[in-house]
Amino acid sequence: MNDYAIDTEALCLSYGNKLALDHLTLRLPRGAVHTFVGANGAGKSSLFRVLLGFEQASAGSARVLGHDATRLTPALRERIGYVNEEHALPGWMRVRELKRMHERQYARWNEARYHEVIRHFNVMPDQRVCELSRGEQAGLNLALALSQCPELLILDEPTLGLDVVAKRVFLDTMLETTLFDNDGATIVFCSHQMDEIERVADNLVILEHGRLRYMNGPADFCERIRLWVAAFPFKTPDVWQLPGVLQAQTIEGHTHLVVFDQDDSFGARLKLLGAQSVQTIPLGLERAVNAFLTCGHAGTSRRAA
Amino acid sequence: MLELYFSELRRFRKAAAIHGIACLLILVALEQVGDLPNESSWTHVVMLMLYMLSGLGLALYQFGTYRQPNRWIWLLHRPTHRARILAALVLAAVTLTLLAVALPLFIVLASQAHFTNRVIDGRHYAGAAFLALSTLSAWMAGGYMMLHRSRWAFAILVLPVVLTMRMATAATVLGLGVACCALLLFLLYTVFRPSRRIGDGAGTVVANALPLQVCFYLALVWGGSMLFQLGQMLAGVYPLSSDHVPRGGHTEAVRSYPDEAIQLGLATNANPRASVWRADLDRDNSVSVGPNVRQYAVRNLITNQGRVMFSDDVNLRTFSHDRMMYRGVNRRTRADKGWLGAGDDGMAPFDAQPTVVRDNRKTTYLVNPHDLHVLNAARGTLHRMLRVDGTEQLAGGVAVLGDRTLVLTNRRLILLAPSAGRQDIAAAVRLPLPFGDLERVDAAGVTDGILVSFLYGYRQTDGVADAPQIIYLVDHAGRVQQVARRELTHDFPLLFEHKDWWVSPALYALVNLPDALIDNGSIPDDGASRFAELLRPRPSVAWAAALAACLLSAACAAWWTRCGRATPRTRLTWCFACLVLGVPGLLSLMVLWPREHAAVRPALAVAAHG
Repeated sequence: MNDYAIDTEALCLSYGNKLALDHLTLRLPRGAVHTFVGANGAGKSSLFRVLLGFEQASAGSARVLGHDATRLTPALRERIGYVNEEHALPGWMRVRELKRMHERQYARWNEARYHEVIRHFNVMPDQRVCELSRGEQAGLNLALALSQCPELLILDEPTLGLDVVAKRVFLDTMLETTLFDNDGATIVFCSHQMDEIERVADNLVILEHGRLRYMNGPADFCERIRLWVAAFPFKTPDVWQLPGVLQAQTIEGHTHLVVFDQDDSFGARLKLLGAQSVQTIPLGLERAVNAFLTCGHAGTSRRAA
Repeated sequence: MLELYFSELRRFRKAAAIHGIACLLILVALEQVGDLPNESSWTHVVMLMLYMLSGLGLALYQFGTYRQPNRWIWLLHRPTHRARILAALVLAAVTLTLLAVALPLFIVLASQAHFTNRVIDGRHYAGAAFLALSTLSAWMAGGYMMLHRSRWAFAILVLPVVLTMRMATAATVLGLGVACCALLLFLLYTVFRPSRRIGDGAGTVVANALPLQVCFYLALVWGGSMLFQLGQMLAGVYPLSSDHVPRGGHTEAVRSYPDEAIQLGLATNANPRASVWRADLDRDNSVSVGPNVRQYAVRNLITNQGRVMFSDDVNLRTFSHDRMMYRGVNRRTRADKGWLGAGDDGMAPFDAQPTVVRDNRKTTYLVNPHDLHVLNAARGTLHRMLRVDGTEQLAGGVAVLGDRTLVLTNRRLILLAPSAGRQDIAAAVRLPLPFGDLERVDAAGVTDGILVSFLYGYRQTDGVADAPQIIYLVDHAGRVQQVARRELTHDFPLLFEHKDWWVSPALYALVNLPDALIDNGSIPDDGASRFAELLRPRPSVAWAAALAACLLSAACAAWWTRCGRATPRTRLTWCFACLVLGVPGLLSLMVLWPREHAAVRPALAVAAHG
């Protein structure tokens, strides 16, 4: 059996002349929470659509739970849960009917888990889906997905558009139900909210322009990105020539440099360029990811510098 | 997927109820001012289009909402085979169609049959079923259009039109409707998959390509014809324009009065008596003898062909296909006036539905393929005037010239003369060429007898080369003698006349094959094979054009598939298909096999950190 929940090899997906996935090779081990981060258009949702067989790859291969993504059988689909940001449930159906439909279709349906999740949300069985708030729809969607007991659960920005309270309830419920009642499931969680990522991630995957830019633990990522603050008494030299610079900004006469994968010798380099004082500050995940992704937009960051 | 089925019913129950009630009210209102089941076929076509539009609209909305990426995933990403999901949607559509379309129609028909003296036959119920079936076809076509990734998928709408819209029996058309639904269901299934791509299976590709090819074929023929004629109009050389009617051509002859048409036929004739005949000709002693009917209604026709109703001075009579007789009602009170059949006693059922024609003296006749009855309008009775047997069929042309009554069939022109209170055959002139090419028959009384002119060229623009005008003299003794013949010139270029064929000989055969196989009541050419039209000889210029189009299409197909994912076998198959099907085949290839974009380039050395 393949040890990877998701395994892609040089995966490409093009929409016309635009490449949404660009030779993406990605191997996600089973039984962990993998968080996906990337700017809009980085290819996250496209990747999920390919993995679920809803888009045909232009080149390369994709395997889900050890099976070719283009040939997912109904039995395999039962093992894969999917929650998207739109919570596109049929508005004309009642909650009870929707639940009954899923209950009948999924052999491993966990009734207790459904009630455990849905109790966190103010959802009545006789309500129509269209009568639910966005947060309630998200809760219902999560309850349905978790109760299927999937081996792989893909959550594509499930908290998008939710208010603070709904977001907290959603994450709490997900963590309580899944992480602490874990039955070896793999979770792929995609979000733009770094606090959510920090809370749930075992593994951080950063995509940019359809390519894999980083994959490892979030703590490791934060350790490798540091902020250096240097004071140049005279004209600020061209700091972009230094290795690993992701972002450069001048704030109140001090040059702030976000740097990737550089040790203490980077301070010495700054001094060689004429820095009067140099200090290094660790960065939080949000700032680190922001700098990492902004680096791709070179023009933006250099203008800021 | 019972839940999905009920869910869809619940989703559209209000819309279906509104549609059904609205249809019922409109039908009841229209029945007050007319007799919808017995109206002309055009009324039925309009009804068909409206019902199909409602089915199409439902599908566009329903599948349009499901096609949204996340909703599509919700629908299909489940441990259920897609066939079962589609089955739930189809069953819901069938139920909605039955409730919103079929039920109101059946209620109206049944109430008409029960509470009024109108004629409601079994074929009318079949017509209602066909409307419901067509609505379902349109729903499936709409679903296919919405889910297919190509914008050209609308071509599928050609399929129900080409396949089912035929003047055939109710059973035949219903059978075609069921076949059309089955084919559309298969096509819908081919795109009802997560990726919405039709796949590479040979059967799937052929089933998807064929409607597209037929659509392109019809578009090329019709569109090309329109453009060519528009060009002629702009250039001021359009033959049908009243200012530029070519001399000696078909258009000139068609637009003439009977005496003028015979004059044209005799104009260059060397016969010494021709000048005398020309002098004798005038508008009062010349008549047109049709043909007035080229197609009869087959029994249990799905719609109406010709006039189903006629009225005498007192009663309105409507033909019933169930009894093959006319049912009469009083025109003023609508009181039942009984049944009127064939023969002088009016008791026998007709062989086929008659249609109403009038002669040059405004006498009314009822004519069907084998019987000609004259109507006594004052008494409301019929008198059988002529009966023909076998493969000979009456062509609806009746005219009176002196004491002779001229009747046209698909084999001959019969001259009846009064004899002891009856009309006996005094003479007959055999048609010199097939009836289908006959444009008009004219007759004129001259001192020597009766001149009869047969003007051909009716199918000239469909590729029939011969278009002569032949004139016979029937003398007083009933002897027939050809006295003149001239060849009409072609008003349009040869390539235009043969456009249906050379654009794609294979698709021409395919599109016209159902007409040859299905009896639609058209009067056949006497003694000709029903496939004669498909095997019509073509001039060398048409052959050259067809060959050039096919070879060019095959070459373009080879160029189009030169790079990309096509395997050599696939490529060869497409090239062969284009060689056989011509330009429509090539166009379908370009739609189904679009050129691949160059977006996927070799992998760049992008290292992932981690």
